[in-house]
Amino acid sequence: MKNRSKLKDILFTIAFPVLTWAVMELLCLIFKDKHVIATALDIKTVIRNTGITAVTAYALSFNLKEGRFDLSLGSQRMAGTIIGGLLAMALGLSGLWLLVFAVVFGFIFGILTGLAFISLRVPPMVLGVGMALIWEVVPYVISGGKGLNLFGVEGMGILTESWFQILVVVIMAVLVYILMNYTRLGYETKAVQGSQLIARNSGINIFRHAVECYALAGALVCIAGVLDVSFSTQMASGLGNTSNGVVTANMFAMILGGYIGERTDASVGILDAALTLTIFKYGLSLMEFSDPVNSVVNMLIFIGFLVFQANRHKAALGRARKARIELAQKRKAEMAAA
Amino acid sequence: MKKIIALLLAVVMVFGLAACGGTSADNGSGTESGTESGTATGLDLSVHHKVGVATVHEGEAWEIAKTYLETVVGPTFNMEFIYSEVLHDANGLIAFMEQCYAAGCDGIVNLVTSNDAIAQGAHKAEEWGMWFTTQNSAWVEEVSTLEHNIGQCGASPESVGEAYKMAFKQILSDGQPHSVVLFEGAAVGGDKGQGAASHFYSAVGVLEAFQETYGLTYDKPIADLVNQQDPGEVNTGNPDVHIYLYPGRNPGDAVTALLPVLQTGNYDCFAAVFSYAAFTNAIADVEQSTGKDIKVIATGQIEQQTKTGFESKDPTGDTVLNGAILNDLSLACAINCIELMHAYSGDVASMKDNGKTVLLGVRSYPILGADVYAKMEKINTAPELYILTSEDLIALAQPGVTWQDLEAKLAEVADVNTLLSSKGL
Repeated sequence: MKNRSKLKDILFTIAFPVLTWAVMELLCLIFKDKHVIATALDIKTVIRNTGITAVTAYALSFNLKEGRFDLSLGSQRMAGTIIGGLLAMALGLSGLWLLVFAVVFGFIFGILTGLAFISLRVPPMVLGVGMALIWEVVPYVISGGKGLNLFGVEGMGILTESWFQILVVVIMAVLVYILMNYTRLGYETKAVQGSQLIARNSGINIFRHAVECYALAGALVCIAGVLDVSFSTQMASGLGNTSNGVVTANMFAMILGGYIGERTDASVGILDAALTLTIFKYGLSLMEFSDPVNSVVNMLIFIGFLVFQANRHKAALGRARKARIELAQKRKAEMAAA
Repeated sequence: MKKIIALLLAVVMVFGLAACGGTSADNGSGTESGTESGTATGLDLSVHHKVGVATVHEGEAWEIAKTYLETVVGPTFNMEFIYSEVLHDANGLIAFMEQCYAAGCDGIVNLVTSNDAIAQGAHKAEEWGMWFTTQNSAWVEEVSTLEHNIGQCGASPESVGEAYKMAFKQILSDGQPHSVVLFEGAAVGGDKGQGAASHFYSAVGVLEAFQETYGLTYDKPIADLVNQQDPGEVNTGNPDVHIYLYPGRNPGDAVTALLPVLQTGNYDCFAAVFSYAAFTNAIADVEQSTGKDIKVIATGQIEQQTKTGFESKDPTGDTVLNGAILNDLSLACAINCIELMHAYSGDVASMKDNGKTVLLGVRSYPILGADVYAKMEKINTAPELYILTSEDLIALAQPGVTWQDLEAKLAEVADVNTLLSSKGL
């Protein structure tokens, strides 16, 4: 029975990307006479975009699932990636070191943001806006406003290799899985998700926990930044809170991943959701819609899913209510008969 | 300890937020040191002027232009510049102008390009008595008669189109059928002041080059093709020639969308009106996969990235960048500041045509080889190698110099060979 249930869960998980691919394949064949995945390069693109989406969604999930929406995450991504990249280039080191430096800086920016949160006790979104403005200035000043430009820089090739990107994403998925299931952090996360007050009263140091979440989110989001900049070659150092859009765009993957992960695990669910959404977006681009139309379609589906999420328990609740009423009526009838 | 950390973080936040504002330390009230128009008082370089620069640019090319403003234009004209963050719309421009007014600026160089922003900015400048000059490729008639709106200067859209046309005609001149994918940026509506005029005319230039070379029969007028919102292949009437247009402002999305198009192997040319470097990895992947060389012609600036493009090799052994249409931000900034100096001298009438602002066009430089770029890259690297030197600036700011003289100067420096030889390169 248990094996049967596990099989159902696995099929449920696989169904999302497979069905999405099937629908988009059908639409692309009918309207454009094209395949969604036709060449090895298509696979490479899907792997890259899935990796960036998944890692960003992991980063978002550390705080957002506990009710803290960190609006400075995009600026941490920008600051960590640009500073890490500039340092690696200045030292003449390879792309691997760029990744390491970016993670270290992302971790530091995350810790500082977390410390600001527990010290100032400002609501996370408000704090996020302020911290974003500060972190955006750091790479701007360091790079002289130029941002990071990897175009033509030797030694960065490894970052665009598919095997490397798969390796990074798999390591991240495994790391998140272990952190969330076999460590104190995971235990505390579940407790805080349930009730922060109860978690605190039961002895959990929720402030230390928050800093840990901010730090991990900062490190992870910088990995996504590195994967992104390695292909696009450039990351501008924008000011005025312009850095967060790229992160919030991945919120759908996080929320869908949470839903899929109910049957397996959030780490698997997010990866699965990232793959699903990447295939969906890739299909849309093959349909040759303009950027605004693509955005509208994506957001409509996102909102539709949120509506589903908010109402999906209603049917079950209705059934339970009906059963309760029937039971009460039956009991009343029995008592009347007696 | 917690309180100390909180205090420190609060201080960091306050200073950080202040740094974001982009204002100078001086918070004096607005001044009206600009001389009212009508009576020329002569060029007086002893009067210090504060000028707000509202920018939409960031990156290396913009930093080069800022260096020019700081090291050549500022000292020459006794000007101090206050720069904005990257602005996106009229609201951002007005907010920045308010800061500038409070900081005592008497002039604004506006690089925010939407008609709406220009109109609102010009009206505000009029209200506050600040001189207002804009860097944009499209003329905004609505505010052209306002007293404090001095003029407009920007990349001449027609010249960008001509440069693209020339560059592509050279590539297409081998008698072989060629096909192109064109990332046309904000071209849609560019002829109506809604998008970017330079992007619009770039796309028109490419389409005209193909039409004239192969005798193509498009199913719509070229302007209508460029103004299509959705990406897609143009009906060329020639099965051997494919043209794919992709309008969009986000290079990241465009790379993902254009990869499958390039992978069809139908295209051997790629043009990008901005951010071409974002496509280079994708193009290299396609070249590696198909074994087919893809020629890249793109809009760029005189900067390291363009040099790298001309010097790096793609997987087929060709250079990554085969042609660059160079726009020089520094030159346009200089013209804006010259216009301001005329306003400060009470000579604003000479910058206008019968009381209306004039659009001065900075020509683009088509560079079709690494050898030419090797010389061109030396431009803007030393005070005497800027297109307009300190002596040029003073000469052009003299009362009596008219907008026709500025236009003549721009035409004089428009030819690559003439420019290079005038600088001894």
